[in-house]
Amino acid sequence: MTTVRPRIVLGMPAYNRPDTLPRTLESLLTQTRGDFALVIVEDDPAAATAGIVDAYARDDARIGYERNTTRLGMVGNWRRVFAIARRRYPEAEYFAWVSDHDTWHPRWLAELVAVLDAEPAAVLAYPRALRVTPDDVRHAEKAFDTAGVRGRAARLRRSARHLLAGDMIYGLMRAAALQAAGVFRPVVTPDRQLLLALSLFGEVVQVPEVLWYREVLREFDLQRQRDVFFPGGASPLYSYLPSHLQHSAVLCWDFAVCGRGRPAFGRLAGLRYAATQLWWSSVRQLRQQRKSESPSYVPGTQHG
Amino acid sequence: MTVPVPNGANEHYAAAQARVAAMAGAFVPESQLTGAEVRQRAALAPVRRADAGTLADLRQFGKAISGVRRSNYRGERADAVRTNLSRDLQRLLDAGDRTLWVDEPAAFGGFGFAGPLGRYNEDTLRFFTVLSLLEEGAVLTPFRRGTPRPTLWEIGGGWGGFAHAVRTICPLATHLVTGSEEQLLLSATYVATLHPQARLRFYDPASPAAFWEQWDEVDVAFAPDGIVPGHDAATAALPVPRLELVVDLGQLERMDESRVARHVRTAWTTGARFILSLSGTRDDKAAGEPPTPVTPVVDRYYWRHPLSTPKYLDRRFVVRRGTCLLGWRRLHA
Repeated sequence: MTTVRPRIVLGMPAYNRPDTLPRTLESLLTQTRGDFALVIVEDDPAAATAGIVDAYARDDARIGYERNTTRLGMVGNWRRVFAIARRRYPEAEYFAWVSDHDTWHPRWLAELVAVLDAEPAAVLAYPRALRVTPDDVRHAEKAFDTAGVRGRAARLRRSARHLLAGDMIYGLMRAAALQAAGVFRPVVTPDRQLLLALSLFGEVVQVPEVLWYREVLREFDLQRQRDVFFPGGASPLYSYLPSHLQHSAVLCWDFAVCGRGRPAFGRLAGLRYAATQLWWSSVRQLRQQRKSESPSYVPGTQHG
Repeated sequence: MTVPVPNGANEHYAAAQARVAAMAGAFVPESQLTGAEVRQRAALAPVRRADAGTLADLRQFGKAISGVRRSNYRGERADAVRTNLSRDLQRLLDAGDRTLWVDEPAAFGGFGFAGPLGRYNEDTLRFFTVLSLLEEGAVLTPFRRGTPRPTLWEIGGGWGGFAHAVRTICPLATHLVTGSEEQLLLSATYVATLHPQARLRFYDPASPAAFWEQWDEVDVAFAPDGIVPGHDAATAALPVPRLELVVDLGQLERMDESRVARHVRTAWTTGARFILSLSGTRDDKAAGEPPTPVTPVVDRYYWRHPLSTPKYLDRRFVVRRGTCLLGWRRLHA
């Protein structure tokens, strides 16, 4: 099927997963909603994935593939995937990052598009997920959305306290809102930072069905994230600051200093939002710290 | 105690008997059946010419299909069976969606224990497990929505219990049953009596293409196993509707490998997005005749759904014996 002007672009920042790529690709290519383009950018210059992609791309013009000549790291590659998507398909309304190792229910895309089509105030739709480990599966029990929360500050407050970054970042977003929110920034837990910024531009809706099967090989680890985000041991010093400080700084820079919230909101509002995020994220950090120090604490809490 | 013939059962049985008789010649010849299939047919033989007593007590024939014995629900064995089943039932209900529960009707000699939601037995739990798994896999949603109208293909048809459950939960879907002469007669009589308003269709060898026309107007359709689309060159050209889901509750493992492969390949060829197959769950394996391995065949055409993980199935659905395989369609096979 050829889609010259797709409504949706799926961007896959890949990193050498020939073991999972065929199954992952097939779960995307067999979606009931087929009007999308798939942009794959491989960040491992030595990866053996080109042949796998070629085998599918031969029969499916929706697939585009590039391989980075030098490793960009996760932040760089996620940004590159989105940049290529916008360049190739500037008219596409919706965008989603997809991994190279998860699988999706055939109705995943159709259900998320239906939500965004029906809710003009929504900028992100995402489903419930199943956590898949090598020999077991677990439901992701937590739920989060800001459906019906009209005020920006209220959405930001709620997001700072409760959002589920790891799941939401793989949801379907309005491309224009994502662009305005700043895509992916070079900070730790950049998914959380992006989603906080995105909350200023619209609501988040969670579809109550499990439509995404997420591979989980290990628990979240901040040092590992730095190594992945900034390859070659190049973690900047600021990345060792508490994440909520980094996020607040980015929000402040983007919206209070550079005024990137316009025309939706001005610099003064941007400053207020950065402060709101700092306060409520600090409260959340404090609560999580107290919880982890509690004798009854069970490690492995999903990072969000 | 004499079990009365349910209202309308005589008429529905007579109608099914005539329609199934008309299919003679389209069924798989006995020479091509396995020993397990031949034995099953022999056990179901009284259904072909059922008198009033047999008709009133059709549930007794469930034993030849699912292995569930009514004798386990009375007398000395009942207490032990009840203890195990009630524990399993509670676990399933605690974690599951009770709107998927369909209890065992009293009609046709229905049997079981009294539970919080009605009469139940191992078959009842099995159907609830299957529907719950399909619900968790988000497979059941199109069947509950009904628009566009989806089709479920049940291989074998059994005694009609699963078709009854699906008809109750998903009245906006089309349920295709294929099987032997006896299975069709049994399940058609059961379903028609319990769902007298259901629009039934029976395969007519005189006009094979007509079976598939105006498919949206069919609630439950019955056809011989031998006319499975793609079974041979003659059926390959038929205008078969796309199937959403194929369900095998243990019939495939009774067949030989070539017919297992033909069914699964047909499921894939007709575009069935999902397949669910139970195997190894019965106790009635004949000595020296192991069941045909179904899983390797399904794996060729379908990726395994993450919910098929044994650890999860055991924990959530109390599936301790055999295999419960839910698969989603591969792009290339």
